[in-house]
Amino acid sequence: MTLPYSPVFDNSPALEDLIRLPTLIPFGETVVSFIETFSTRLLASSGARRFPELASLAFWMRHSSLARLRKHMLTDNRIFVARGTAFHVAPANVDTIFVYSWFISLLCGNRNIVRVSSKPSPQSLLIFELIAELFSQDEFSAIRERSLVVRYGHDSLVNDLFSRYCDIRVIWGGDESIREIRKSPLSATACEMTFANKYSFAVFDTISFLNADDEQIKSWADGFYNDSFWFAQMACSSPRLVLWLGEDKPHIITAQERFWRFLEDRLSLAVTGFDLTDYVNKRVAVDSLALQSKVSIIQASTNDLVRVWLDKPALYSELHCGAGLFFESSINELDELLPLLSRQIQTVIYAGMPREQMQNFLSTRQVAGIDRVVPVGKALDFDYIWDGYDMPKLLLREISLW
Amino acid sequence: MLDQEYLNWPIYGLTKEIKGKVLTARLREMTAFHIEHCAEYASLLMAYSVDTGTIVSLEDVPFFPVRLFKSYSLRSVPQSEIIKELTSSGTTSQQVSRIYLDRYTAAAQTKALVRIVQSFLGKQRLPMLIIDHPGVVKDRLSFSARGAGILGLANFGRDHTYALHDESMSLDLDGIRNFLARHKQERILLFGFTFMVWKYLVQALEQAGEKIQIPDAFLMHSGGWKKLQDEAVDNTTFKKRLMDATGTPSVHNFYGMVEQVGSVFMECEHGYLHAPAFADILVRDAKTWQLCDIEQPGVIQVLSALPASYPGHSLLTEDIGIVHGEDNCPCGRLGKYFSILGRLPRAELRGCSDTHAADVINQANTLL
Repeated sequence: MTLPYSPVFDNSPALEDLIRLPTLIPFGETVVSFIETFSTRLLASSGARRFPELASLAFWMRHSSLARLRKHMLTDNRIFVARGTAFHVAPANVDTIFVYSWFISLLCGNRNIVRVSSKPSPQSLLIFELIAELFSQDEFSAIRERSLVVRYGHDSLVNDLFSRYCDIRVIWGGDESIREIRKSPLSATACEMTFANKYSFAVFDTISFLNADDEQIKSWADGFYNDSFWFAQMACSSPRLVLWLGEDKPHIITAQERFWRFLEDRLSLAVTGFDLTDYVNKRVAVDSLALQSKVSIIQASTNDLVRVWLDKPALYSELHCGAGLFFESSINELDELLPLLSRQIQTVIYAGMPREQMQNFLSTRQVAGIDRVVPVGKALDFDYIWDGYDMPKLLLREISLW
Repeated sequence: MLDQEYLNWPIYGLTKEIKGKVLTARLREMTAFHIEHCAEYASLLMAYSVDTGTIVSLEDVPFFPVRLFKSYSLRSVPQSEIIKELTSSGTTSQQVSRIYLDRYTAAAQTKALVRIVQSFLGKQRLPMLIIDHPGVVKDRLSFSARGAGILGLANFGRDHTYALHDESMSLDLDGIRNFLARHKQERILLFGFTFMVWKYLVQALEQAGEKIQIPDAFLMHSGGWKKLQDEAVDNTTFKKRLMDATGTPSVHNFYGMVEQVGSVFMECEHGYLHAPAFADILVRDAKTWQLCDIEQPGVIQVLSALPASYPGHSLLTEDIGIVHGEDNCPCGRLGKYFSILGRLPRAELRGCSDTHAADVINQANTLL
C-alpha cells in the first residue's frame, strides 16, 4: 500500500504503530540525551557556521537551557504526564521552527507527527541528516518509534487522518494554512495551538541613541541586523517598523543618522542573498505605498536597505515583503503605541530604555496585542513561551491529585 | 498640451548625443506634465524628492514599476477624455494592467507603430499569412488578446490567410500552398506569436516530414520566450529550424508591452532589438539601481515619448536584459540595441503564468 505522505526518515513508524505506543516520561533520560547529542553535533557541523540560525538552535538546546525548561515544566508535588500524540504543522518561512516545536513536545514525552515543508531548504536538509544519524543508533529507538516526520502536498485527507489521531495539534501559520488545516476535525478531547501571521516592530529611545557612544550604537545595530536580516525579514518576529521615542525632530534625525550608518556598515560585511526579484518586489511595495500616502523614501548605498518615513506609525503588513524594508516614524510616548496594537502584533524590540519602562507600560495599559518584548538582538531567540502560549504547559497534561 | 513633434524624428537615425538631448527634454516635460495631472504620480515623486529641473540625462528620468498599473487606475487626463481602456489580459483570474488612453495618446500609438513597422516593411501592404487559426478573431466568446493583436497587425497586410485549421491547431498545408501559389514572386508578411510559430508551424512541419518554401517572407513574432526557454530553444535555434522548415531567412521578434503600446523594439537582421528614436531602454543593477555596463545583465527600464494620458513614459519592467551597444549595430540603425534574457523569476508571489505574452499581444489593440 502506498502512503499518502512521505516519511522523511527510513524506518519511520507506521501511524497505527506510533499511536499505540505508550508515551514517555517527561524529561526522561533518553530524550534529554537525544537532544543534547543533536545539539553538540549541530554545533560541530559546518552548517552551524554557515547558517547562524542553526547555531542559535543548537545553543537553545544546550544543557543549561534544558535545565531551565525542566524547572519551568515540572513542579514538585504536581503531576504532569505527556498529552499523547502531537501533530505539528511547520511553517514555510522559518526552517528551524519545526525542530523547536517537535523537541519541546518530545521533552514533554509525547509521540510526534511533524509535517515539514515539501521544499526542503539546505538548513532543514542538514537537520534531517543529523537526526537520521541519531535514529540509526539503538539507544534512540524509543524516540524514532514515536516520531513520524512527513512531507505531503495540500491533501486534506492526510490532514484529516493526523488530526483525528492527535491529542494536540500545533499549527504554525500562515493564516491560510491554519484555515485549511482547521477544516479537519480534532477528536473531542484534543486541543490546539495556532501561530497566526504576526508582525513586529522596534522602539528606540532617541535621547539614548544621541548620548550612547559609538560602541554601544554599533552593538545595537549589529543586534538589529540579526533581528531583521535573518530569514530575509520574513519571520513573524522580524521588525518592519522602527519607532523613535522622542519629541524633538532634529534629535530624531541625528539619532537615525547614527544608527543607520552603523547598520549600513554591518550590511556591507554581509551577504544578504537577496536577488533581483526581491529588490523589484521591494520597490513595488514602497512605490505602491508612496502612490497612496505621503511618505518619504530614503535609499541607502545599496537596495539591501530601504527606509520609508511615515508621518504616522503603521505596519502596512499587506504590502511588506521583507528583504530589508523598514518603515520609520516617531512617537512622543509609549501610549501612542496603543492604536497600533492588535492580536497581530507579536514582538516589540526595544533599545535605549530600561526594562521597567516597558514593564510599567504593559502592566498599566490594557494592550490589545504584543506577545513578547525583547531587547534589540533577541528578536529571533526562540522561547517556549510563544505567541502568548506556554507551550510545554499545553503539551503536558496535569493530573490533579486531591 | 504636449506636442507630437517626436513622431517626425528619424526613426532609427538619431545619434546618441542628439537623442540624449531631445528625448531627455521630452521625458522631462512629460514627467512635469504627469506630476501636474496625476495626483498619485505626484505623490510618488514627492516621496523620492524628485526635482524635474535636475533631469539632464535619460537615466535621471524617474522610473515607475510597471506592476503598479495592475493595482492602480492612473491617468493624467479627465475621465471624460478617455476613449479606450487597454487591459493586459483577457482572463479574469489574474490582476490585469489597466491603461487609459485619450484620443491624443491612442493616435500617437498608432502612428508610432506604423512608422516602426513601415521602416522594415515599406509602405506596401503585403500578402499576409497568420500563424494562428481564424477562430481567434471570429468566435466572439473567446475573442482574446491574441485575436486583437492579429487584427491590429492585419493593417499591414492583405489577403489575410490563416495557417491553422481551427482550435485543433493543425496545420492547413493545402491552404498555405494555395496562398503561396496566389502570391508567387511576391514578398509575404508572416505574423504569429513566438510560441505558436514554434509549436504549430516549425514543429508541426518537422513532425509531418513536410517543408514549405517562403524565401521572400518577413516574419514578425512576439509574445515572450518563456515557453521556448523551458524547451531550451533560443533565438538562434528558433531561426535555424524555421529556416529549415520554411526557407524563411527574415525573422524579426519584437518587444513591447501593453503599458507602452506603439513604441515597440524590433529585432534587426543581426538579431538585436532596437530602440526607435522616440523610445529607449536602460538596464539597471537591481541592487543599486545604477546603470549596468554594456553586456552586463540587469532589470530593463523602458522609456517612451508616447504615454500622455497616463504616467507610463518611464517604466521599470519585470524583464531582464542586456545592452550590446549604441549607434554601432552592424545593421546600420542608430540607437541602442539589446537582447531580452528572460523574466524576473517568481516576480509575483501569487501564481503567475505567462501573462507577459498576453501583454505583448495586446499592444496592437490601438490599431483596431
